[in-house]
Amino acid sequence: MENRRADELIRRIGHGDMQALEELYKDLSRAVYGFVFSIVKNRTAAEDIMQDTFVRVYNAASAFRASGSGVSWVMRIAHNLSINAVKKKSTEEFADLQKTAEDTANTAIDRTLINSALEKLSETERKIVVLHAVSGLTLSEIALVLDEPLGTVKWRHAAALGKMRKILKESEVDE
Amino acid sequence: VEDKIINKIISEAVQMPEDTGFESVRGKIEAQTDAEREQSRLETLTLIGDFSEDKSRRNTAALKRFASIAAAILLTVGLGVSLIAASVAGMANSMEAEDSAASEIILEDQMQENFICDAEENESTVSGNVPSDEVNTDSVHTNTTQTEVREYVNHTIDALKMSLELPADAYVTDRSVPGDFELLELYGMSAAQLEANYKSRNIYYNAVWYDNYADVTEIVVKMTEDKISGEIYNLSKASEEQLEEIERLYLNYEENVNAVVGAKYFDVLRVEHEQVLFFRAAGVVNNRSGRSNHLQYMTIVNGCRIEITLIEHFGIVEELSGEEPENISQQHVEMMEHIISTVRWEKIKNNFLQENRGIIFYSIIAVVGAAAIIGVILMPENRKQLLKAQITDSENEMSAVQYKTESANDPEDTNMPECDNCIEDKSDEIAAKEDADDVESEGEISADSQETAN
Repeated sequence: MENRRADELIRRIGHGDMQALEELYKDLSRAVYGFVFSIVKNRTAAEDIMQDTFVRVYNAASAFRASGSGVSWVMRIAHNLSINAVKKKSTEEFADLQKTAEDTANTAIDRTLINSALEKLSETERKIVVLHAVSGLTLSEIALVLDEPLGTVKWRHAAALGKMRKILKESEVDE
Repeated sequence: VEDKIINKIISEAVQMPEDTGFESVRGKIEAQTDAEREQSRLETLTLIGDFSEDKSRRNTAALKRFASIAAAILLTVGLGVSLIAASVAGMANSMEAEDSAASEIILEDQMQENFICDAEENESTVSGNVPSDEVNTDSVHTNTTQTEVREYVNHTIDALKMSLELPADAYVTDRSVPGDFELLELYGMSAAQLEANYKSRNIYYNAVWYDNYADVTEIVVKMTEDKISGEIYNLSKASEEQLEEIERLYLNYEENVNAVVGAKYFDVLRVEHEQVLFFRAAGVVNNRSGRSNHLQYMTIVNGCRIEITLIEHFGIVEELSGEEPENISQQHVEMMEHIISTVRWEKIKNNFLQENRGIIFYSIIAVVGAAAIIGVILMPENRKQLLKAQITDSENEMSAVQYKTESANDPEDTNMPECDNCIEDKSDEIAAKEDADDVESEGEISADSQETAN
């Protein structure tokens, strides 16, 4: 989703436009869910937080002033709601990410492998690669979402991809 | 493996299993009361924190992180340097001397030590190593008539890492008195007793000779470590106040000179030396052995107080006792001037604290600076707490507003709030808080996410 479109929708939402919220939801709900799921690792919790994210977008949209960063703004809300949820509940209560991911696997590469690779990433690395993958945000925008310096995000993203490539290559050799 | 494939796989790994309808979101929004919506809005704004595209803020966060690391390093280095400085300074205050005196004032034990021969066991003994030209006690007396043109021999006092010239015809000894030392019989004590005598009086070197100007003349080299020597470290670098204090100590040291035991110093002068600064003081001492004139050169070097004292003894050897001069003889004054001019220390060290004052100063600055930086870094946490408190207040206020609204709709409720403008007033306050949120709520989320990331 383009940031400009997201900006426009959020401005309209700020004026109470429910239709704009629905459009935003259609465009971003999957990305928000994927990102939240990568953090909370529980389908039900991810869905609740995703919905709560849009409720809060509606409530707080009037305060949105940044231009060209609407998607990041939504993701920031989602990210911080997820973090709060993880803090409140032990991650042990959440289902295993790997199991759910295996259910949705449908590409040639071993899903178990990719998910175990994800699990080997640090929390921040996982957030970055997932956010990049599901939302298409640039690293600069991801830095905004995670409130991390751009250099840190770039470095961690490269490191995360490097780890994943290494794991995948090793799997190819084994095969 | 291309990045696109990885992204695709990741997207599928976290894919939403089925589309969740927007209706549930709509339902939640519509179910909210105005108060709940306002509370949610405030919470969300707090949750988001200072969301801005301005990279400078994130750069500031990175800078803070860097500063905190730098501060920690500075703090560690600063504390390390301070500790090292403290330990080295402590080490500098302990010299290689075998013992140390604990005299509180610089001349405290002066009157007791001045003549080593005043031991009760034998009041007329003298100390000394066998000089190079082996002499017996008879030859000692012969020496009293020798020519005034004196020859000197250079001596090294290893324990004090210094050297000086002493009269060639003097009996000299250090603290290691050999068991067959010939003059022990004259002293009436064993070598061990003599060594103990030296140690108890901080004497490191002793030269004794006979000449025409006193019954017996000796030079005593003492070294003492005490609080004053540690503080001043090198007399040549002492402040004027410290120098004046030492002069005052000399001049005020006046035991009853006419009593059985007494001492008095006068003619206190400062004497520049090639390596150090000396205090020169003439004095008179009475003790059980008789009267003696003193000429003392004192300095503080390398944290040690060094006293080189020439002592003219009278009334010790009865057959030699004659008229006792009131002041030290001019010949001995000149002799001491020569001896002092030959004194050399292997090395003059500076006080670590004095020498490294700059490093220590900057270490302290570093520690204080680091503490200040850490304080600044921790500041947002306090502000965060304050913001949370404000949010809580807002919630309470909103509850009050809600109560008022409900009460207003209830005709039976007569407990109306006193102020009809409260809603507007609170709204203004909340709006003001929102503005403040934009500026002051930095760190809430970033801290949370940072913690999680860590």
